[in-house]
Amino acid sequence: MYRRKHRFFHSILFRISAWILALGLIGMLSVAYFARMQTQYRLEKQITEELMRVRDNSLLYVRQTLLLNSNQMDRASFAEYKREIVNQLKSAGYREIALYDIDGVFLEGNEAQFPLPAEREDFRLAKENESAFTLAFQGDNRCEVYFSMPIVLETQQIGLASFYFDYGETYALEWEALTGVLKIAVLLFGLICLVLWLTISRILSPIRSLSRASSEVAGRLTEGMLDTEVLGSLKFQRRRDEIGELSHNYLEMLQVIKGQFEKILEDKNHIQQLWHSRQEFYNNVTHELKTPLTTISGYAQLLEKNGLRDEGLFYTGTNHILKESTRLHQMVVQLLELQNKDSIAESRQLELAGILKNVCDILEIKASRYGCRLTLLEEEGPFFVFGCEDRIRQVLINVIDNAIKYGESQQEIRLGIGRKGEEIQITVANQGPGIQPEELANIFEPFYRANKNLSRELGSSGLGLTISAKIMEEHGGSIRAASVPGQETIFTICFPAAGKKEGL
Amino acid sequence: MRGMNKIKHTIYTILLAGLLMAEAVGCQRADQTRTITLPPLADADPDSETIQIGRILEYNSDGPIESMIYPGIGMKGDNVIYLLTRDMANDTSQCLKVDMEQERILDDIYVEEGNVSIFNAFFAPGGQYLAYERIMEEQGLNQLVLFSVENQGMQFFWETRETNEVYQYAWSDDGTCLFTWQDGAGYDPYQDWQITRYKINEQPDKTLRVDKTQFNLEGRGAAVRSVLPSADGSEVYVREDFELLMSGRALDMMAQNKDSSAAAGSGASTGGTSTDSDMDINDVIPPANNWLIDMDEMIMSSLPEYFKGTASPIKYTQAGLFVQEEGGLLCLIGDIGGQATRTELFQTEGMEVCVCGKGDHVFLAEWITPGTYQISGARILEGEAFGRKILYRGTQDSVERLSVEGDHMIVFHSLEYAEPRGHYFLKIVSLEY
Repeated sequence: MYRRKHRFFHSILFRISAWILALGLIGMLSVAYFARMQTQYRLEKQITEELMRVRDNSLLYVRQTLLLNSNQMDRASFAEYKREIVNQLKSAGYREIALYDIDGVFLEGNEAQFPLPAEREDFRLAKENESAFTLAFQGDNRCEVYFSMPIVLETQQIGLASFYFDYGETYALEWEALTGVLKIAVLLFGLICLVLWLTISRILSPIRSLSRASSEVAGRLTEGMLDTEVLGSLKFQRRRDEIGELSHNYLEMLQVIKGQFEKILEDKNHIQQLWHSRQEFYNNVTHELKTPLTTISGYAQLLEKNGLRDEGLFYTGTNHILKESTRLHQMVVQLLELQNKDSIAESRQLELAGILKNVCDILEIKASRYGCRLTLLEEEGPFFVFGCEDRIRQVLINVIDNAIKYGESQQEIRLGIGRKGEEIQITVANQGPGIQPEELANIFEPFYRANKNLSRELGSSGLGLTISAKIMEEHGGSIRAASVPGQETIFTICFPAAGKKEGL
Repeated sequence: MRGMNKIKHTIYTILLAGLLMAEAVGCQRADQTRTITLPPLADADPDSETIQIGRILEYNSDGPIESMIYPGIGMKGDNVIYLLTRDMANDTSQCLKVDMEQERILDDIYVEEGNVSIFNAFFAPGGQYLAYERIMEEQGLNQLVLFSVENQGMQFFWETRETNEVYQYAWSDDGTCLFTWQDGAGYDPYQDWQITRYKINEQPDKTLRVDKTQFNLEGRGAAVRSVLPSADGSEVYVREDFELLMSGRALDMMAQNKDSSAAAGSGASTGGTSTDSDMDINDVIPPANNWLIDMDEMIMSSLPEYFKGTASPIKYTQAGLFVQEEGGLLCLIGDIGGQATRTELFQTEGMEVCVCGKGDHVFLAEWITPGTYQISGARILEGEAFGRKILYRGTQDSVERLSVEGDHMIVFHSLEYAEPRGHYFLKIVSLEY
């Protein structure tokens, strides 16, 4: 069962969502702020340009009026013809006007329209010979402009003039346009953010699925199981983008892990088996060593005790001691041989049929003692192999010897040699009690005897087939057994044909 | 480590929240007041070489406008103006001498009886003489009269005119030479026409001797004939512009006729070329002619065409010939009789152009809004215009005849309606520079 290991606030989707939201908000507000600043700047610029024209026109009209009436352009004329000046300016379209002398004393016009001169920064600047205007924005679409300018004619300041303009309508229009722009910006940003979020969510969805699936796999792994079936639920494996590649690589990785997992399990079982085998080997070794040593020790004690008084016991005991010590020596030699890793001294090309015949000749006598006969069925050779003759002979002797010892008497032991593909096979078949199927796999284990009592009676150490298997392994071949209990047992010894053996 | 991350996240959150709040606050339409200073004026130096208006005079005539005889207004000196009016009560034509500064009539000079129709009245620069045409219906005569204003209204010269001809008039700037010529759109534009100069010489005994000089020109068809005398009247620039006379409709008709004749010619052609179809519109309209006539030596020099398209000559000054080209571009052609130079001054489309006699002051008049009339001026030095500025702006119902008098005064008159009076009256404005 998938259990999310991280909090939602740590997830990529949350972080990206938060970033998108934050960027969207910042973007929208930046647009709004910038648009508002631009609107204000544009309005101010428009007002500035218009007031510059007002200033130029006003100076022209004042000059004309003074020239027309007095031909003097000084403070006195300005004060004297203030009414004519106001009328002239009004006829030019400037409705709200106030004229002052250079000290700021009101002369003519609509004084009530204007705040007190002392409260106006523009008026203060005009007194300092600078034209300025005060822009008053108010939230209810009101935009009032108070413009003050010095009346300077012939480089002489002769008075001051203030004008009032209502730009509320313009301001309202600009604000309306700005609001429209902002609404569009909000919609656009919202749409962009939504599209971005959906796109990113869609991109992250397979990653999240992969994360969940891998989390389940990891969970099972800690329980010692590797469950890759959950990955079958992922639906993006056939995608050709990075996600598809990621999932494909992930699956491959899991397959490798699975393989390694199985190999580890297999190795573990094998190691366990080996451990058991070793333990059994040690047990068998100690048992096999202990048994003859016990016999030897016992008889030695008897002989020591009874000495030469009991001649029969002396000869029996000596016989047993000799027999057991010989068997013990043989076992030790075989054990040493078993452990010898570099057992192949020299490898050369050999003709196998000749060796088989030679071994048959050697064991013919023993077979006749057991009432058996050896029959060799030979295909047309020659049969060349690479190997060590002595070791090959040892294998053949061991297998044929077993057939003689454990087969029924008065029966034929059939030996065959032939070519099967790239292998040269020797078969040894005998009738007898056979080997039970459950024991077939173990007969090549050290000290394993299908019939322990019979084997011990026959002086077998239980290492013969083990050594044979090892020799065949060293030759790149194999030895296997097949048996039908109560009927027939066949041993098949396979050699790679000459030129196919590796390592030699 | 985890604590450091927490601190970092907290700081980021605070910064982000602060930024958002600041922007949100900044976006609100909050009340605010700002004071902004305007840039300083560009031309605040009275010693600069731009035109400065030193005095403005206005005069409003008492009588209704119907009593005025146009364009009978002349300037004498800086303050006196002459008005040619009709005295309804006495049924006479009078010349009023008015002091604009004091706004009073100085003199009232008898000119003609009431049964004599006066038209085309032009006061000479300086106001010494008045030239006008009169129609004596009983005798069936149309006469040109030279009237001496200062000499107690004596008529010194008259000449009989052809009644079916329309004459145009121009005075030289010094007020001593009167030029007349037949209008190019008159009765028979293919008839030969004359430029006549009447040079007035005042004798020691206060009598006047008028020397008449007449220069004949070939009539080439209907055209706008511009005759601009030099300041002393010794030379006269003449331009005959045929295209200028034709209206746009006439030009279209001529083009259609040309196409029709070309199509008919090609249809009837037996394989030869059709010369009509090769004709350009310019082949139909003769090109303009430009001459410089020395009225003393009676020599006429043909001048090249300096202008692109049609052109309206404005004044032949000491600095050269001022012309307003098609599209409104004002040009100055210097040394017109010699190594002529063409200088493009500035755009004057939609404006009336007036130039002083010396050619160093140009004045432009235009309606900037219905009811608001503006006069601007620029100085011309070495063929270049500079210091263009607005000189006057006023509210008028209409404006007539802008002129420069005495090379230091701009004069124009307008019609104003007076509610109390219940009629239009004449308002004369002079701007002294």
